[in-house]
Amino acid sequence: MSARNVEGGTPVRTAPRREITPGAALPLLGFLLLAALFPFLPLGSRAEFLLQIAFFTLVAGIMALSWDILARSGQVSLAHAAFYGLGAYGYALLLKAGLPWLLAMPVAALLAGGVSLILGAVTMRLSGMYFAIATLAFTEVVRTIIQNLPESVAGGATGLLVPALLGGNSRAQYFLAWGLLAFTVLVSLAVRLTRLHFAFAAIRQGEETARVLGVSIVRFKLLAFFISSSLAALAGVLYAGKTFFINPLETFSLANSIAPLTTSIFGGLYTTLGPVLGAGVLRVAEELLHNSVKNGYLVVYGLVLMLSILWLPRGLMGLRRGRKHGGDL
Amino acid sequence: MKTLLMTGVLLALSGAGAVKVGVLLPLSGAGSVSGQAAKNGYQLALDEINKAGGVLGKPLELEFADDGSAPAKAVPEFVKLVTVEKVDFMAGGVSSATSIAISGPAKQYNTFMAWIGAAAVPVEDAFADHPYFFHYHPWSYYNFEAILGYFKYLKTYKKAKNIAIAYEDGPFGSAGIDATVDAFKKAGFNVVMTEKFKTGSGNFGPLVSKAKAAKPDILYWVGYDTDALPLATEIKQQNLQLGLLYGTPPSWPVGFEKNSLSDNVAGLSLWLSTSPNKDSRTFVAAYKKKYGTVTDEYFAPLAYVNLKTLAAAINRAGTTDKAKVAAEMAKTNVSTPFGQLTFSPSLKTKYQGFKAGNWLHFQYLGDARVPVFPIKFAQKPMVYGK
Amino acid sequence: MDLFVQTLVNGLLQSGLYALVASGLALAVGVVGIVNFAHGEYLMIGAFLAWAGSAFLGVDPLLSLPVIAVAVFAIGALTYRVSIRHVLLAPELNQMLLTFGLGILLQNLALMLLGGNTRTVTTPYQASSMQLGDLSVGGPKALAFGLAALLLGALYVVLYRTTLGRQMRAVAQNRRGAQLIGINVDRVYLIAFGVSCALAAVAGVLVSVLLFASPTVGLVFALKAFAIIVMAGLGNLTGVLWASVLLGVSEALVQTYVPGGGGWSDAVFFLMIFGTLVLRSYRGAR
Repeated sequence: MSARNVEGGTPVRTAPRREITPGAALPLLGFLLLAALFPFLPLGSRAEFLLQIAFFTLVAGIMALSWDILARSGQVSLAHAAFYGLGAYGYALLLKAGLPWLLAMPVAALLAGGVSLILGAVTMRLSGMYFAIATLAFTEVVRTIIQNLPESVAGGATGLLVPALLGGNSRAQYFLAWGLLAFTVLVSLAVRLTRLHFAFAAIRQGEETARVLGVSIVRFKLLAFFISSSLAALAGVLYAGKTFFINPLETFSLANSIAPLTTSIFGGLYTTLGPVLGAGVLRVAEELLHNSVKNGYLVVYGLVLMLSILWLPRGLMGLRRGRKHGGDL
Repeated sequence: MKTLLMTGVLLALSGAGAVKVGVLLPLSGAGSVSGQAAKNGYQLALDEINKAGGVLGKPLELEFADDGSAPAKAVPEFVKLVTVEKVDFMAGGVSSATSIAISGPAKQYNTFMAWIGAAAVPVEDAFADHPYFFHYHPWSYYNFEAILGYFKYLKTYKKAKNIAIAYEDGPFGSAGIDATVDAFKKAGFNVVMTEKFKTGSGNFGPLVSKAKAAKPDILYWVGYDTDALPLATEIKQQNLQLGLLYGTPPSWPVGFEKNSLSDNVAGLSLWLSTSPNKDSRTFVAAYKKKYGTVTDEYFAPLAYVNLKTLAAAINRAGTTDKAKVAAEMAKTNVSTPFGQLTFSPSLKTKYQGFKAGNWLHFQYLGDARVPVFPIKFAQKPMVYGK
Repeated sequence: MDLFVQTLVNGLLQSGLYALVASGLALAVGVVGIVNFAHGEYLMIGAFLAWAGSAFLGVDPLLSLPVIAVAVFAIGALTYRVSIRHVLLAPELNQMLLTFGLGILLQNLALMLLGGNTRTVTTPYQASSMQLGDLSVGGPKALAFGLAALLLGALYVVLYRTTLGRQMRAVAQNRRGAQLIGINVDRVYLIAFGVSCALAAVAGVLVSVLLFASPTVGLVFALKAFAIIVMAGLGNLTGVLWASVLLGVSEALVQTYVPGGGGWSDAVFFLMIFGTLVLRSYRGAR
């Protein structure tokens, strides 16, 4: 089975088989353009509602893509909820401290990124399942700490009210989310098109090999963690500013760690388009199912996930026949 | 055939200007038990309203939507009901987090909201300046007022003095716990233990051992239905002597009353299916006729009352104009399965329906839940263990 | 002093439940090499079957336990046949997604068919306990502990003293090699996965007696079971018992002696796992 070689197996090529052509960027650009134009589409009375769905889809896209960036360095994390939550809490607390939102947002992201460096450094030597469970444990510890701090500090178990993002204007919120997704895409492309790509891929495919090749594992692993977690924190900020309310149980829930993972696999791992596309398709599928099946739509949703992995082991990106792994963005 | 066709045409015609009410409920996810119960209540009320001539001369229409117990799902669903389905009024609402999340669009569209659940205080903050927010469920501080009233009675008549508190570490159990302890102390109780636990973990051994050392008269427990049996089991196993085990879960396990471990466990509810109240009996009979079973979830009658009073207010106003309906709604004064319903200001909102006086304290006696306090509603004398 | 001993007992009793859930998972991970995120759902199925037997047929959960174990073995084997088998060679991430999907499916199926209500079973021995002076040892929990030790022991014997066990270990160590020497790998996997699910269901039956049955009951325990098998070291059966006892007892100590400890016990649980993993990684082992 060739799929085995995508990860974990030994004899894998580290360089793309074919050069990336400008054409490879077309679907991605198309997707972003469509997303940018979305609020202007003539959707009639459904426009407002679809805009809301689209907003949360963009947030899901940021989460999935940022998770994928970390996964490219071989670190399958279940701590994405932690950074999403830290972003949301950091933002809320910085606003409370009087920072303007435009400043609070990047500072919250950087703070979350800083925390991720600590986690990354400590879990440096773990891999596979051990790494996954360690990151999961980390998330639970962070959640419990925030939950048990005095209510005056971070709202305790009850949670915090968060001021509306951009005065609650849903169109402006949408464009902010779009901008952050576009930023995430740019970061992802930067990772893909620079030597970071080879470093990450080398580490993923075997640290021994990477070491032989002279890749500084520590530096690149931490860099992946920092980038990925800061971006996840931005998604958390969007969520907090949109729903006005955060509490430890929901923001740090396991579901927020699992969704980016499933979305990325469903879309296509280690690509830029895959996770973004995965977020779009899964969310639309969920919405359609929700409206048609109503009771028990999640049963069908689970079935869709199972079938997709049986028939599309490489996710949606595997549908692009003729293109081998390395040629995709 | 002809008449059938005629009815069809008539219905189609009448549908054009019918009043539409959107109902946002957690039909899936964590809050689905309450949500599904509420849905049944709404449908029962809808049947009765339309049988009695509908609203503004036409059959009332309900549009249900599932908020999935998650804010990220609730916001789009709310916006969909308001902008796509173009509902005239919104009803429903169970979870606090989802209710806060939709407070933004609710203000944006100036939506009329007749809201049944969401008892947490941050919800009150979020809707404080909303002109058309009618809240039926008592705010959480009213629940506590009712509990304190009962405990004070136990202090006077049963010499209950020491209270141990066990609360789940999530938002439900932890909300306002410091204020709770202070209030007990102020009322002259000794709070001998205040312990958190993790809901659903079933791990009450250490907590009960600790309580045993503290020798409480009342163990006041704030958690969920999943904790009821494990806690009662552990108390029995470790032979913790209590005057009363008192809990306030939003619902109780199915079939708990048949388990002997439930004996004498006391709790709080807005409503019991066995309530002797005339409106309650009517509701139970109608519910049984439609669904073939009896429900113990108070969200069913709460939703029922919610839609009935909303429909009545629209009919009295003679229009769907929000301000006029709100003015009529504010004058509501009807008897319900919960007692009399009127709207008056709460700490922060303008229209609060049920308050502390509507809560009932019951005890599992024999194989049923029996009201034991306030005394005028008591059907059997309470059993106090000390 | 009494409180201290009672605390140790409390922790020990709780750990029995943990070990029971973890043992099946250890088998799935150790032999089949599959990280089954739907493990808790098989526990949930076991709990609901026990509840149904008790509520509709009046059969005591402990009496129906063998039947339930066999039934869920069949469900597990079927699951293996239609899904797991096809991703055995796929990357670990694909396996994870598959079992996540399976978990969502099963959990929501239960929710759709049975509703979200919490259901409880009534048995005469539910609150039975042994009193040793001031000390109290809960009956069903002690039973769970005994059963966990027994099952782990039996698993150990099967793995190290029988042909099937030798085959399982061979397959776990080297799939291709095992195939070469004529072992029916597929059959071994099927049995191992089925037994793993059956063990989850056995835990589920005890959970229904001790706690409750609900569509989400599996989640709480599955998460901890994962942590335990990882702490024990993947595939290490004896380690499962020790890890469970260590975690159960330290949870109880925190809950009893730290003010507001009930809120911190989860943090301690996961912090210990985090610490163990990290420390071990720095001592060389992965």
